[in-house]
Amino acid sequence: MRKFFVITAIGKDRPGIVAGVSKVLFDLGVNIEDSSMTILRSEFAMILIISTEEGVDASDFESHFRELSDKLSLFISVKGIEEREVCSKKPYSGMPYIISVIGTDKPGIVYRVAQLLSSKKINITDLNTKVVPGERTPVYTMIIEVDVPEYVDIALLEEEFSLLEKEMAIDISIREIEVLEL
Amino acid sequence: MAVLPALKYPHPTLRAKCTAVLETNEEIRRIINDMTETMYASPSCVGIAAPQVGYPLRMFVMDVSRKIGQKKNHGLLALINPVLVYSEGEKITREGCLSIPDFLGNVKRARRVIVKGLNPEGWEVEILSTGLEAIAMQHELDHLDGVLFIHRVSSLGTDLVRRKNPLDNILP
Repeated sequence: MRKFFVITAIGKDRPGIVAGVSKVLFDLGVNIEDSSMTILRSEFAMILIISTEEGVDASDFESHFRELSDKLSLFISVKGIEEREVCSKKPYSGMPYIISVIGTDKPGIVYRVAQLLSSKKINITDLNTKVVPGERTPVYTMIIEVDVPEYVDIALLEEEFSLLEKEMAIDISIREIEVLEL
Repeated sequence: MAVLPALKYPHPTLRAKCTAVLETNEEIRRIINDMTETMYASPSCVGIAAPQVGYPLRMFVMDVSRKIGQKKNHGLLALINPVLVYSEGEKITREGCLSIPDFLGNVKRARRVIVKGLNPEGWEVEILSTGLEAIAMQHELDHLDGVLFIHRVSSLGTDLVRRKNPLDNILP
């Protein structure tokens, strides 16, 4: 039985973060199962799912990461996860859709859209936002990928979106992700 | 006829450059029938190339009408030794592949293509495809050269996505 952990590391971007974190893991004999790393403005963030031999605890990583996190000013966290959570073949059950939201930058766009989705038990699987310069004021754009449960009525959801569009003066569109299976 | 097991990446046959079919005979037609049956056995699959079911030969079957109905496509097609003779335009489509069951990829391909080849009876045919059929043609042509859609995505971060609904193992 192997044990699974999720590790996150965030810090000011510079060369050597990935090398540093993966060296610690390599030296510990840890296997990196899956990872996602990206940069946002000046901050670099890593999420890793790792597996270890049995008998390893989250606290065991602490001492090994300390020197690195001091040197590179990284914020590192380690959390144990169940194998069945990691290996579950069917984490989502609905249909994939893409929602795009565009409007003048103002507080509450992410919150109000996310709140509506949450109230319908629609799970957000990916979300990116960007502020782009507009003609007079900056324009806020948000692209969300969601997993829509089968029982959700898309026409009804679109009606609720159109209420929110009027209230917040934003444009919201939703479309099914078309996948060509070959 | 038989439903064949689909090879999964990184099986070496999927990376091989396939060889031309020398003669369109009964054996070739039998394989094409099996490929067709295999395609129809997978609920949303609209195309299968021979190497995906273990034959490193230059041929594929497709039927885009399963997804988009009768309009703007040729329905069931089987092409032997196909060659791309013309392509124009650009279109990005999210592609899935029986051989890479856990991922989908956003791939940029030509919008219109003309493909020449032999039909199962050995007659030369030339097919003009647009839209999803053109995309499917290019995906299948790639298979014959050992190229998979993961080789065509430009960013793992934005163009390669984990399936939110993994393919059930419908195929044996």
